[in-house]
Amino acid sequence: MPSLAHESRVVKRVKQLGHCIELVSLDPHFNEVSVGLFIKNGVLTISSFSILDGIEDRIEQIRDRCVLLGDVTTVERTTDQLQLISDLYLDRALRFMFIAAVEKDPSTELPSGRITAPDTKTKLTFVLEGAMEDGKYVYTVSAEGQAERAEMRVRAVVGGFIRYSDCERVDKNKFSFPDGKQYDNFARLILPLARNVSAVEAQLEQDEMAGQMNTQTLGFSQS
Amino acid sequence: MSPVVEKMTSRERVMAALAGEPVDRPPVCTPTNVATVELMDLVEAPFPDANRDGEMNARLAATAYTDLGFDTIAPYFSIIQESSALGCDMQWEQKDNWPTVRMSNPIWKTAADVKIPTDFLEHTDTKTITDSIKILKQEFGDEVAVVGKTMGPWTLAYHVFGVEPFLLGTVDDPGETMKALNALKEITILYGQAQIDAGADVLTLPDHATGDLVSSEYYRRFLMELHQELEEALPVPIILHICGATTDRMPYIAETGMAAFHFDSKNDPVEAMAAVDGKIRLVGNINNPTTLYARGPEEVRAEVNAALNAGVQLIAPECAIPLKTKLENLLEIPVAIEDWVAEHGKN
Repeated sequence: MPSLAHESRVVKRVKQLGHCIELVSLDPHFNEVSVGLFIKNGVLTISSFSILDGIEDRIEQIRDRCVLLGDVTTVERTTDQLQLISDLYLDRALRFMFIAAVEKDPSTELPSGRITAPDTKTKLTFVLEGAMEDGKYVYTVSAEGQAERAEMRVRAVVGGFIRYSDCERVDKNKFSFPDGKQYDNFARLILPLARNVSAVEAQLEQDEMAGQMNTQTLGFSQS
Repeated sequence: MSPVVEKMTSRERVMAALAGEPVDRPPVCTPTNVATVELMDLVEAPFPDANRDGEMNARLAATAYTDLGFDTIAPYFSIIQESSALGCDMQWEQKDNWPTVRMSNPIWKTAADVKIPTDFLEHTDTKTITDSIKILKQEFGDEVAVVGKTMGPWTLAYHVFGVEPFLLGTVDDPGETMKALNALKEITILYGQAQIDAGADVLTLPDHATGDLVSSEYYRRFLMELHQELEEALPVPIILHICGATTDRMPYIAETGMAAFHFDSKNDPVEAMAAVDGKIRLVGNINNPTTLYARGPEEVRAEVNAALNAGVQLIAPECAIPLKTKLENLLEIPVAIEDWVAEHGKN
């Protein structure tokens, strides 16, 4: 028995890395290798089982993009590790952050400044603004432009934040993160997803089916 | 009370379990396979190339034993090697997806069309597996069980005739269907024997008479006897694999004489054990899309325990695992078995 009698290279790595939060099968910007985001004792590690030259530099690049995309900071004297800025663990937000860090073109500048995103269903542009209210940092969603269902669309965006970041609804157009703190990077990351939950869910479902072998994917089923 | 069994090698454990003999612990099996994108990176053997090159194939397949601690190595990852060699229209996909046959573009219409190419066993995609088995046997000898795979006539029929035309034919002209299945059976035997000659210890025989598409009566009518013939023709233990809900046809499957049946998580392990009534061993049935893919080690352990508590003899994922399966979940299977044995005694 190899791995039970002695630790295999995979067993050792998995023990070091901890729990896998998200695994991207193909890094489009580095030889289509797989890259994972792992967590152990509150420390996030980006890792790949690839042994190709240059993988360490690519991991550092992904790690640094995560800092721009999410509310995380680097662990000093490391090139592959991150830590959360608070005790709040936002699973979906971290996963979206990691996927974007791997899949978005690293030469593309990431948005900064005002947090905005165009609506995909109307000609509105959503705007997020935050401020302290009753001891909590509250984000207010507004819409710029003209559309008949603007209020409904704003409400839907708040619903998207509840779904993808465990946020709490403060008002029909306001939400806060569960611990009432400020997370502008996550807010910016989630806003384009929150505006169209059904499309995001359909994409996630499609992604999950990729690589699955079952009667549906084999074409041996009625559904 | 089970007799005391000395510590076994992985191969001894698997062969004993398939023969219904005592084992030192229930084996962890891969009747289908355990390839993942991370393991592909680890040994530089990505899909689709690992399906088309014997050396790469062997490297990736071996990780089931060398890195995950499973008791078997199963080098035939997909279900398309024979169909490619027969000339089916293939979609090879990329690293993160399974190669498939474009069944909407079938190559044959009737049983009379079934012709085995003279160079069938020399085709790149059939030879990949026989080459890989030779490499694996050379590398591991009798340490670990090498599990080959030869597709059954029902699955081959889906590929070469198309799913819908083939199933409609079973209603319109059952005699013609039987002729086609008998002709395709020869491919199953030919490729199975080639893998045995290459060194395979065991064969998996997938034949997708799934509950989604066909009834148990269909299984009895069209396949039970054919499967008995295949069991007689291929001189190694055979693991029959059928996806989906199959408890209703397990009593028939149990009559085929095959060594084991690899069953899906859509079947309750206690009900499955009752359905086969000790006439065939069961292999399974850890859920893939939910448990292994999306949950964590705790949930994996719970399913391993449920299967062992039900008396399932060989523990395995229910089918070929999702290519993005987390390694921590696969590593949990052998560990959970060892812990179960420590708590409950030997199987």
